[in-house]
Amino acid sequence: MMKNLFPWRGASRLAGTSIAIMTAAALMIVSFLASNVSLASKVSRHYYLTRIFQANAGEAEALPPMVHQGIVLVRAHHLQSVDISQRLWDQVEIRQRFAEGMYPIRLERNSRFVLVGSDEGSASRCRVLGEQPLVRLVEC
Amino acid sequence: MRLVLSELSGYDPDRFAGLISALLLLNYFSWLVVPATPLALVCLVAVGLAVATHVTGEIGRRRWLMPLAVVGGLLLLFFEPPTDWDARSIWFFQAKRMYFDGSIDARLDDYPGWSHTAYPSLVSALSASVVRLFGIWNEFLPKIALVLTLVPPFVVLLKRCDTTVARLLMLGSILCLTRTQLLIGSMDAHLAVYAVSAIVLLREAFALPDRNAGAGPLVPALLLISCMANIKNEGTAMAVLLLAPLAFWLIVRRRPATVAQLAGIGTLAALPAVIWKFKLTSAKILALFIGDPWERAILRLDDGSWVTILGSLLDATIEPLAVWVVLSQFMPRKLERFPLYFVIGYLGVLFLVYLATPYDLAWHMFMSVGRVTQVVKLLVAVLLVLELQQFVGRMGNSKARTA
Repeated sequence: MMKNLFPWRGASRLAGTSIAIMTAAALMIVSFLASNVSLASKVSRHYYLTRIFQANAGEAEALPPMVHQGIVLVRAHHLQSVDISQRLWDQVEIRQRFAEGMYPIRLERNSRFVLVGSDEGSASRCRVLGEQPLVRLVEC
Repeated sequence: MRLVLSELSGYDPDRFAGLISALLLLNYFSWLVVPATPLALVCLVAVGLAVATHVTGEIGRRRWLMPLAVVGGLLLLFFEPPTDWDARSIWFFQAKRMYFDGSIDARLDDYPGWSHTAYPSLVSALSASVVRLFGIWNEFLPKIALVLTLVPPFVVLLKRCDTTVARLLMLGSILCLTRTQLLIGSMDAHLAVYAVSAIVLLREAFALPDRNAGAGPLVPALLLISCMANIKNEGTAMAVLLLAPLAFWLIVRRRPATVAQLAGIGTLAALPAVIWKFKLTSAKILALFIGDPWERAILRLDDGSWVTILGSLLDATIEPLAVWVVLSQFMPRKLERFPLYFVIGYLGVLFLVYLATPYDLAWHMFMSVGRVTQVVKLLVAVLLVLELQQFVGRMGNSKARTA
């Protein structure tokens, strides 16, 4: 075993040092694995085995809940573009996650379909098309 | 089975890394030029088969690190969807657009304005091919490209390790220094690993004494450099920094036939980057050069911001550089000029980029200095592992002789 690890002759005196280096390297790999696996705290075996090949899998975990709920609403109505309320637009992360999360549905400022926060009011001329706990889809 | 494995054991890992790099470039090229054809899928399948073959060969040679790295990396990818800003807003969004729009050209509409349309898409193109193969978009499948694109540099670096100890140390130091960066979908660590492996290959080639030697490690080095230029914009600067001494060295030291062969391969490998830059110029999309970069640079030289830039760059790199300078005094090769030239040149490029950035300087530096200087830490770590291996090897040999 030791001959395979240390190909030179008379290596036994170096074995201690090398084992220490190997242990350090192994610890570094373990530290890498720990930092990556710790990301998986919410994942169950069922999730892992069954959802990898499902469309849009992982979206609910990756996006803010409001954005995910908004995307679900927009997809259900087969829209091509949608706007978001000014209050949502002003929240940079929400705006950016809407734009990339719901693609190929586009975020367009002049769309007549608008996503508004569930605690926001909307103009009386707007009609509610769908609702989720955090967000509403209205047509104006 | 034994026959197949013995055939596989004849593979030259450098040539294998070059092959995978060429396939990655061809995949990107097909998205750039012929997106409607199945060429991208053919490239992806070829990459998958080549990686599987290599992994099988490594198992046959009873080397477990590469198979464990590939299989473990693929398993780790599926634990969590990408949440990093760069990954979501730039790299996987590029792949998403390529998959849904069916081409890379649709991105030239610059939608949405913040997703850095001008960035190249080598890894995103492979992600788009993976998703096209499975026919569905989700948050996990595009991440497969992250592991596949890491294979060439890892193969090059692990080939240079003669013992299990050295291989463990090499892999351990890369993984430890990059932490989650290799698997979250941010491209900085990928670029750093490519740059380091290209430097290792070039350093080896520059040390070859025989003027009549063939292209040797230069072909895979050229292909890795070309990949770098198509991973991120910093990669283009790094590629220029590496190609300049290579061109000089080739002209001075090599036979014209080898130079012509390498120039041909280099021209072909540069095609994707040139085509993408041409498309961007035609669409009038220029990333850094919004407004007047010269004016901003002069202003920052004038108001003393350059000291902040210099300080931040040194702060991020001084520790690895100090370790390198001190430890290299005890190693067979002292502080090497070529890697040192690269580090100084690259830091110079970063200095100029920050000097001319159109963004708020403090914000831009806070967000990026740690990531873009990762290559310096990795380079120092990899060089020290390689030198330590030689050092221990020589010690072992001298002890054996004494005995």
